[in-house]
Amino acid sequence: MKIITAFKVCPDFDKLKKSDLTVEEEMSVDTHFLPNVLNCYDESALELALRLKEKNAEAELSAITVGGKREEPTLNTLLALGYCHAVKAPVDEKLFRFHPDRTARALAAYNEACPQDLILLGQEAPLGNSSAVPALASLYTGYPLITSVIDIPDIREEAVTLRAVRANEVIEIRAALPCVAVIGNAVISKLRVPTLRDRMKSREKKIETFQAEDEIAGSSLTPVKLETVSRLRAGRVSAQKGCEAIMDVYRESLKERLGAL
Amino acid sequence: MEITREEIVDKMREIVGSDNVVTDKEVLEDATHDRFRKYEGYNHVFVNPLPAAVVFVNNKEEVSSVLRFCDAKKINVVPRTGHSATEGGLETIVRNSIVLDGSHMNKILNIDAVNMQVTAECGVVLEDLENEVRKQGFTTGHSPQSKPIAMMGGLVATRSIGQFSTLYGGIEDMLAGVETVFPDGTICDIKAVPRRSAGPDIRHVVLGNEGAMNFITKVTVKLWKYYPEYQECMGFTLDRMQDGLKIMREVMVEGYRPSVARLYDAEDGKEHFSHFAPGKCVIIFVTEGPQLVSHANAEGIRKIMKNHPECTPVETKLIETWFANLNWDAARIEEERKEVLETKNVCCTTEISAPWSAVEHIYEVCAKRVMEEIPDITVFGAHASHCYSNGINLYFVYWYNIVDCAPDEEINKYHLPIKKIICEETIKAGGSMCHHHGVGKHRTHWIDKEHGSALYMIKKLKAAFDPNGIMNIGTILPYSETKDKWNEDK
Repeated sequence: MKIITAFKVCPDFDKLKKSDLTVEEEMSVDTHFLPNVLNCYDESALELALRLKEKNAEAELSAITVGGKREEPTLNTLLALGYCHAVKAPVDEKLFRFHPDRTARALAAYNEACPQDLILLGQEAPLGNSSAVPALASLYTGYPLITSVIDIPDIREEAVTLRAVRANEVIEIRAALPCVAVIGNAVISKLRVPTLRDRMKSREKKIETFQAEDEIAGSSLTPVKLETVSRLRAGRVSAQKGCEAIMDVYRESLKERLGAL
Repeated sequence: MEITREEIVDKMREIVGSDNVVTDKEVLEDATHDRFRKYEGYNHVFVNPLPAAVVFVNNKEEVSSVLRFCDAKKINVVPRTGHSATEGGLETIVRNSIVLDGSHMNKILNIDAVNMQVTAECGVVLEDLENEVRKQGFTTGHSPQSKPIAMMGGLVATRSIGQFSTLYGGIEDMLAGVETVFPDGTICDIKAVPRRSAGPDIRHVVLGNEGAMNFITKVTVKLWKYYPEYQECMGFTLDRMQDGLKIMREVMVEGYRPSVARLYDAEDGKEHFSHFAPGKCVIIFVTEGPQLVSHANAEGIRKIMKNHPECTPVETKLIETWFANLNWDAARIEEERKEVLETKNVCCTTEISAPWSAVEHIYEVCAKRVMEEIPDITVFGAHASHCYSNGINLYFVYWYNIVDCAPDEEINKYHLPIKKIICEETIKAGGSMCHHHGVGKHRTHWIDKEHGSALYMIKKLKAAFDPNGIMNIGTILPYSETKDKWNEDK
């Protein structure tokens, strides 16, 4: 039983001040000074894989990323957590942007070299948000695609049980292996943390490098426009305080709506 | 005869009005603890007895009346403002306590631009105060990480310190005057003057009393001109914490006064700097003040750093961005809550101070012992963030996975054993077990060793100002020291 999770490490845009948002010549945002975070959907996927391993001791976990130095701390963490293989498909980080096709090809190439039973991917990631990698990975591996997965309660020899969202309802799916599962708003969002002893024990394990035949470089998409999206919500700030503010909000904003229920 | 819970609540309503006495179960549960028992709180496990009420006071007269009543009836009072304490100082460890909350006393009373001081009620949030004085081009110079939450009364009561302490000092250097109320109802206003030699400095009966002797109602702190445009920031990476400690000493002993002087070891730094300094220690300096002063300090520090080839400069922008995201606000605490519940991975801290001659030993022995003796540790690191001519602090930061352990066993399995190692090793080496979080209720185990022969003075102060032992029982001095007094006639 082999399970592989593809992940991406991204700049933490929550820590980007508006005044620091500068667009560079090649239509990119300078983020070199920001700390890195694991893409949230991928983080769920990595933890779900660990939970599957707890239920199925035979499972062999791998993690793969297309990246460079930035991904190495995460790869080492995964080795300490019990992942058998932590694989890096190296790229020139400065050149590699908007690359769903080549990322999917790299994953498919690795799968060809080391066939997997279950491929887990997060549904999207910042810096592009194309959401295209999972579908392309399904296409290039020939594995069926299951989207909007929020939990994976069980995996056996031939099949995996998944919970996924369809038309705002959670349904349970029993899918034959191999397949590609796309992790959406999962029931878990955080990756567990290895102990220092686990880290020390895993020092012998090395990050593996996988070089796809098709060199991963350049950009397959060329951005033509870059602008910030306003996320301000419509609303009204009450001028009152305390209980009067609550009554004000009730009268002006809630009463009518509640009455309509 | 013991007063009933209902009688306590009725009397509180009579003094402060019904709207200001809260007895909702959820509020009372939340009031039984502070961030020391955050894991229990996140799991809705409350081991301390529920207080009779949370009582919001609006002025010093109400404080006086409440305290006088509680003193007469021997009701334990836990003073509180911002609820950001970390050492259990806000825990209600005896039945039918009241939590006396000053957060409604939140007026900034006077920004005195001539005498360069600002007076605020105890419930003013430090960040609000700082924002107001900044509008006039001033700063208090106080910037603890809890700035968005912590309030002036609590900041004085716990002897807090901020990130710019190397220039501005701790709250004890900032506090010009303070008004406080004692358990017998006496209101004392210690006037704000530049200095005086009229007997012992009585501000220090209030500073750091942790609500165990009096309730602070009003605070006057000094102001300084604020020159953000002249701040100079620099960062360096290096391999060894011990080398960094020597550099910090050199900067201080040579007489330079950065506002920020911080040194992170590689383990603690992993949480902050892995994007540019994985596996490295990091030193950070910020200088500020008038242009000539700030620049002279920066130049002097740069000159020292040039003589240390083991240090590599890092881009200023990296440090500035990190610094801008350092503080803890309510949203970050909520984020932490969710993360802790999912991962069962908890971060706790213990901060100590040490003379230069002992700090390296304390750092090394604590790391070694914790790693050897405590299970499930995921991070054990430290940073130094407050420097003095005669020593430095160490802020030990430790994360652990909670394994096979109920929420109410977490403290005894992990946090207290780690704290015990740090406090005992620090005291043994000649340092102080509390740098700026106070004793609370969970460092009282070592208060005798901390003070040695001087514990006499602490006990006398407590006995003199709180003879019935009603103020925040079990804080600074262990419950066993005061329980006999407290239980008399109950």
